[in-house]
Amino acid sequence: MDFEQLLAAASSALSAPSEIVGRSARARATAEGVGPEQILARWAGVDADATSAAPAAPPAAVEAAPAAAPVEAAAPPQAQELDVEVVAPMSEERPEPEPEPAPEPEPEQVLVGSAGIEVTKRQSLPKWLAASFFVVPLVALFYVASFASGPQCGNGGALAIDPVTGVAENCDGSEYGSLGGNVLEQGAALYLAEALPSCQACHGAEGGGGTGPALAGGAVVETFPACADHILWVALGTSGWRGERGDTYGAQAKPVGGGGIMPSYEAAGLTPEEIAAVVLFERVSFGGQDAAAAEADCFPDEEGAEAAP
Amino acid sequence: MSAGDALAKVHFRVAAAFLVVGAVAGLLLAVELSATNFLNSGILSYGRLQPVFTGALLFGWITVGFVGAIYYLLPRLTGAPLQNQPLARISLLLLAGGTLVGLVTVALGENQGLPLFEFPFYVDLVLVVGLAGVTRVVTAAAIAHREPHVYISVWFFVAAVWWLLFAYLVGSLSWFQGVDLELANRFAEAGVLFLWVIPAGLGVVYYLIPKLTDSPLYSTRLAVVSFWAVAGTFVWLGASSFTFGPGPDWLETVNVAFAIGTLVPAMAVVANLLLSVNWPMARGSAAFRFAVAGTGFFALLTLQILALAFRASSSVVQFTTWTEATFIISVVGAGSLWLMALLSHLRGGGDESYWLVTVGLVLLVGTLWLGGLLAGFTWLGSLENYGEGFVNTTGQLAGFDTVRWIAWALLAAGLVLFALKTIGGGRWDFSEIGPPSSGTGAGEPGALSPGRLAAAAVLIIGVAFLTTVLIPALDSSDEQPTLRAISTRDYEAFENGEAIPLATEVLSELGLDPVRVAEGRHVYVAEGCVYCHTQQVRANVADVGLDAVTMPGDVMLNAPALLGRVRLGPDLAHAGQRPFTDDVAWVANHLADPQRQRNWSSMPSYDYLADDELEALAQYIVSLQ
Ligand code: HEC
Ligand code: HEC
Repeated sequence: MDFEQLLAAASSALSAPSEIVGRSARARATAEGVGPEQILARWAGVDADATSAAPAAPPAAVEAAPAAAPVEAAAPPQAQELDVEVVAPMSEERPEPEPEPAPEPEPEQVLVGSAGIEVTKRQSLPKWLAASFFVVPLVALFYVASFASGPQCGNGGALAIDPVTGVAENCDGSEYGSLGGNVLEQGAALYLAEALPSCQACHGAEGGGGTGPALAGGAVVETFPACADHILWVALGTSGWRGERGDTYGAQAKPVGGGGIMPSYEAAGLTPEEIAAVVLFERVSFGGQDAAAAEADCFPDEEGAEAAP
Repeated sequence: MSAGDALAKVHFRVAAAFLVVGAVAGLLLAVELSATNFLNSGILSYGRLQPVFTGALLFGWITVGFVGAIYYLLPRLTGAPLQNQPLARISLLLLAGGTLVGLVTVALGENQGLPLFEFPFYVDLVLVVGLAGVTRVVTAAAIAHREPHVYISVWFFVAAVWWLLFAYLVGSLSWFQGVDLELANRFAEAGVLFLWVIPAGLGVVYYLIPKLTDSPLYSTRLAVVSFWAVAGTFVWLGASSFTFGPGPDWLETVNVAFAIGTLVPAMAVVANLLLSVNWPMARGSAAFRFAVAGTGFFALLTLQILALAFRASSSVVQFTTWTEATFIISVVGAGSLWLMALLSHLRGGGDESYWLVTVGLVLLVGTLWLGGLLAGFTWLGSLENYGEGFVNTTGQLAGFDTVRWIAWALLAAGLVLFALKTIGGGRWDFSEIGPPSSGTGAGEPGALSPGRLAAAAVLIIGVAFLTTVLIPALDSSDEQPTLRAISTRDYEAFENGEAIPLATEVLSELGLDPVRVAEGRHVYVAEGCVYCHTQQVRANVADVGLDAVTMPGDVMLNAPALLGRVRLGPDLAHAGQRPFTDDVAWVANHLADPQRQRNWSSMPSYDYLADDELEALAQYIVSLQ
């Protein structure tokens, strides 16, 4: 069959004007890199021998629609409706594709320009994709709602700024790297876990004792009425104390080593400030001392003490 | 070949010539970081070469190249031949000529201190006129469409040229000062990278992928979603490199929100293209692989931006080499690969380049990211990230610097090879053209006309400009300069010899001459020290030890503010208060030969400057209190 015959056959098969079918076939042939006759033969359903050279069939999603291909200029009313749909997001800032529960219309293919690009006017998106277009803006909104006023101190490594020197500092206004205002909290954390080996392992989480003597019920303050001695004890531990202070410790002159061996926390790497903090915690929680008085005792020359209640 | 195609081909060849310049500059920069004194002087000095590198790639290669691509593709998509070709030709001349002159001026030491927009104002003027010409040609061609269906690529092209014009205008403006100027500069940076390179490239792949694999685009609707998502999110990302900076805090939150939002365009594009591909048809074509790799880098961009925007991660990666990856991923990654995809489609070949370029890029982005993380954690763990203490950072990056130049060697080889083939002869195949469309040109009823599209594009970028640049600027107009600004940083007054009693007192106590300090600052700007040094201390954990946090009032008298983006060397905001750098003689000696004082230094030697300039520069450094 020659071109004209094929064209006639294809036009009648598609019931579309022959000039449109011819143009579409040529464009499509350019796109596929085959002769227009093969395209027409395919559309006309004629078993032209050349069809064997035609490229692989389009993907399954569009397979159903070869007959709809040559409609580019025919612009049936349906295509117009579709286009209105396509442009709809324009009026909004944020595209919001609606997921479509109803059975979708067949995706329709359109041939663009002389370049022969085909597009599918598909109405629905994969569900996961449509869903994520809702989720992502929601996450963004959630973020804005949570951190509307910018990097609050403590958020993401943000620090406060000293109004006089302009230097960055801890959120409570203490110097960066120092323990910060709530020494008691720091001390509790050190007692429970952060100091290694942890005090609670030997003295009990409630200070009730274990390998080491009980500290609760005021015992620890009876042993060390002055905070300075308490601090020194924790810093030195059993053997350090023996070397520096002799064979007894505390107000009752307990024998050093009598209750076992307590490690040195200076040697364990706690800073003097941290030792003072954990001592403060013991004196307040187990010794029953007033927090402000104990802090004044344990941090005698800290301006930070005035911040405590 | 039609006249329009011939014009496109000229664009491609010119672009390829700039690609050679940019690729060689990129390689040399990487080598200079490892072999500090290799060619690292005069016109090839690091701070001058950096803007040559970005300028050649961004304006020479990508911009001219994509304009050519648009001239080639538009007639095919709209069914109407390219109108007004004389204007297109003049615009090419202005763009290419302007970029060339701009590159020469920065190499001669004429930086403006505004990354990506370093060209002097007369070059800016030429480029703006050239871009306006391009915008006119492209918009007119799209409006004259005969094809009733306006394909999505056309949307991207029309919007992108307007966005580029707008962004370049903002970037070259010098209305602002201080932090406001930095915000404008970052807005413009986001504009050219994310709203020109990315959308223009997306227009190209939306054409290429269906074309190369002979399969229809999966969904027009999804493509439209991706268009509005690109337009709606990326334009807000200007300040994402400014987290913890002296800009308004709410802007940082806006940034994070839209950085999260970039997931939408990334997913929409990747899903649409992957679902479109007819895989059996795809194999074996270098053009297809270029297009897919470019799309991969586009998806990576979201991760890159998120890391810089979120506060917790930005405390680690900001100012490290991670920051440098933004340009690499968007321009050298996505943009170049997409453009190369089209060129390889038209010309055939490009396989060798494909492997060299993608392997090089993956290595490069890998080192920038990992090296950035490492440096960032070093800064978090140390209180002395300056002076002798900076040896930790430089020492740790040494290995990464080696990988960096190896990566660049592969990358540059691939790019130059590709460029030479594009410039040289060879067969171009411009034949993919069918019968002209017989559409009426009226368009389908209800379809978006290109004219309205252009208006919407300008509206979007205009609103973002208003919100992220103008409003902060108006907001800060009642800000007062700090004591520090008045006493040591009122350079304009120093230069004019205006007597400011406080400044005279402070500076003379430091043994400095105000006029010399202002001169030194000019040298600092012109030599591009800003490409390695920040002058910005953030109120976060990483910057503790660098002294006072930078306030908007500290820099509000200055244009440019020189806050900087990258710390390949220590922060200099308060260099004059620190040991060694509080001494003019020491600093002058250091500048002349940094390795003599610190043999681990990767700072270039500035002995090519006159002694007089070095002394002024040293005075300026010491004045940074
Ligand atoms: C390895 C177990 C162990 C750990 C861990 C330990 N201690 Fe002790 N602690 C002891 C022992 C044993 C004694 C008794 C020492 C002696 O008799 O020489 C003791 C004694 C004390 C005393 C004196 C109590 C008294 O009334 O006699 C105090 C106070 C004390 N420890 C505080 C601490 C603090 C604070 C920590 C954590 C920072 C800590 N201990 C961790 C074992 C431990
Ligand atoms: C390639 C990147 C690079 C460039 C460009 C560069 N520097 Fe440096 N700079 C460094 C590095 C790395 C160090 C740290 C090692 C050292 O002190 O030499 C440094 C250190 C310094 C120091 C000492 C800082 C301190 O804390 O002791 C000063 C001052 C300085 N640079 C000024 C300048 C000036 C001025 C320019 C421009 C003329 C410049 N640098 C350009 C990388 C660079």
